[in-house]
Amino acid sequence: MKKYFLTFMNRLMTTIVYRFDFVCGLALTAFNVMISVFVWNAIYKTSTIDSFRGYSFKDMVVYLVLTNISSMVFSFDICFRIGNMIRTGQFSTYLFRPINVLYDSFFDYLGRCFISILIFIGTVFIYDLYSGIGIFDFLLTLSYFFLCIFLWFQIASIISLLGFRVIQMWPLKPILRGVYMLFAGMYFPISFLPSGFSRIIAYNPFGMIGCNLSEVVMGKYIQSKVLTLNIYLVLCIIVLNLIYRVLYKKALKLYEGMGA
Amino acid sequence: MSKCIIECKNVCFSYTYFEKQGGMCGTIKDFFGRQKKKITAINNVDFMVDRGEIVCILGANGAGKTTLMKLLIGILSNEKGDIHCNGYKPYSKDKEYLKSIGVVLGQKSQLIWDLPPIDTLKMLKEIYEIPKEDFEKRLNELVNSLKVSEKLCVPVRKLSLGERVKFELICALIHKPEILFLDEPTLGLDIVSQKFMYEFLQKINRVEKTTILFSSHYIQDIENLAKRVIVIKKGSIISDTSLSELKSQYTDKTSYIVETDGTELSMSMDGASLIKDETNKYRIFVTDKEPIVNFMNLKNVISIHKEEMELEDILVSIFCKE
Repeated sequence: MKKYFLTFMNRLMTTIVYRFDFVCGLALTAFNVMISVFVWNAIYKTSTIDSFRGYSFKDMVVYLVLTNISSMVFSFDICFRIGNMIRTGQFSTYLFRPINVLYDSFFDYLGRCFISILIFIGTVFIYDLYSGIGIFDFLLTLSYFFLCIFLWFQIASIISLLGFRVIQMWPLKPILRGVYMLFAGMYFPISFLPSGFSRIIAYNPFGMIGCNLSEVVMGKYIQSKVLTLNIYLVLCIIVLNLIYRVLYKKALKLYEGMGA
Repeated sequence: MSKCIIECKNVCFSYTYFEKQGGMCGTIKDFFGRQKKKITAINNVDFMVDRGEIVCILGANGAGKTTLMKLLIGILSNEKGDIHCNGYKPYSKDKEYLKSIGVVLGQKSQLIWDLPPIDTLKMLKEIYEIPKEDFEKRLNELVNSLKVSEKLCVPVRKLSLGERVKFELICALIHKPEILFLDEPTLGLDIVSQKFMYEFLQKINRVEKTTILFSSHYIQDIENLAKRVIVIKKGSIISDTSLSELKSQYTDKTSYIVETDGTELSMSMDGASLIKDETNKYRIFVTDKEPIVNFMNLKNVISIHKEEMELEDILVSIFCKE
């Protein structure tokens, strides 16, 4: 396991080297939150109701802060990194080392978003302290968050396999971003969508790591429901892992190690 | 322990590509349906390499050298035939096999671009499960031999090309591999570094009995390192012999440089190969002892000069022969 820990450390060090990129990412997230808060402030001010589908304006601000911070952890960079490595043939260097490519990518991903993970956990801790949420709920929320990290990594890994078929992955970026924003509930909770539609997509993987994660943190679900969601996440991770393994074997046959 | 460390039997591999038609019409046509084509990169390749040998794979650009290397490393899966390296099938990516090989692949760097080489090397220490004392001893030995000890803590992006190549080699050798695959190992190295590299590779081959398989376009690499040469052309092995044997095989050929007054030179002589060197100059390789003047129109010839065959000339004649 130590070899993967060093992959994690090396990626973390690289992220710290590019501190300007990280600060820019933080600033972008802050601007996103500000814009959304201004929009919702205008909506709530012009409306006669104080709460919409269980969300007061204050709840909405907390929700937006949490979903935006979590989106720094759940980024699509990992798909494009692998895709680019396949396109340039750099992926070959993974294949002649005695490592598990999936584990190595996972620890690389953890190193890449470690600071964002700390920021998210810190935010949750402060929120729980401020709201008087107990330690058990805090730990339950953390377990849900870590399962979300595993789930997201599996989703991103499967998407990255497209790199074996598609030469340029970047045109997918806006599509994936759009799907993520809608299905994860980046600008508003999924429950704000028309009820029939929101019921169908309530437990989609993007929603689990976006909207549902924020609602778990905000204490909108009772403990038993959070436990059920945790089990659901574990099942999703297992299924996605199996899908990944089958697809990876097939995709690897297409790899030609482009370039000399 | 078996004497033979690499064995290839009837190995075949082909690449699939899409043919792009020219012009706008062709581009529009391609948008709706592209034509898939197959190109044979490796065709019925048979060879064996014994433990401790230094073998050079030679061939013109696109001959299949790197593809063959990738098949042996396990990056590509052979379509037909059998490959056994150190008792393993490379494509199965058995951990023990991967631990027994070291690889330097042309422009594919193992080094982490933004961090110093020492960080990549420490990671490799864990990947190859090298004990701490062995790692430190080996690292000292390697960085001192290749004269890069002062660069261990400099970010890779700040290193010169030659220094990067040296660290690539250190990455490939840090775990004392039994087989070393090198694709263009001296690319970007200055003359002094090349000399160190030759001495170093010869030393590890002699002391550690490391089997070295390399491809290179530099004549110095071949002359200084290779004891055996495998020549590949269009995916097939056309010669597998020792360097001295290769030289003697082809030095019975005579080479001439013929200068014309600008007229295209034509000749009809069996076994002769003709290459246009410059505008008015032609290089002719013949096996026949009969004078070439009997086979060409001398009217337009200004001069004919006979020359001795160097290794470079031999290779040119092999690569260019139809």
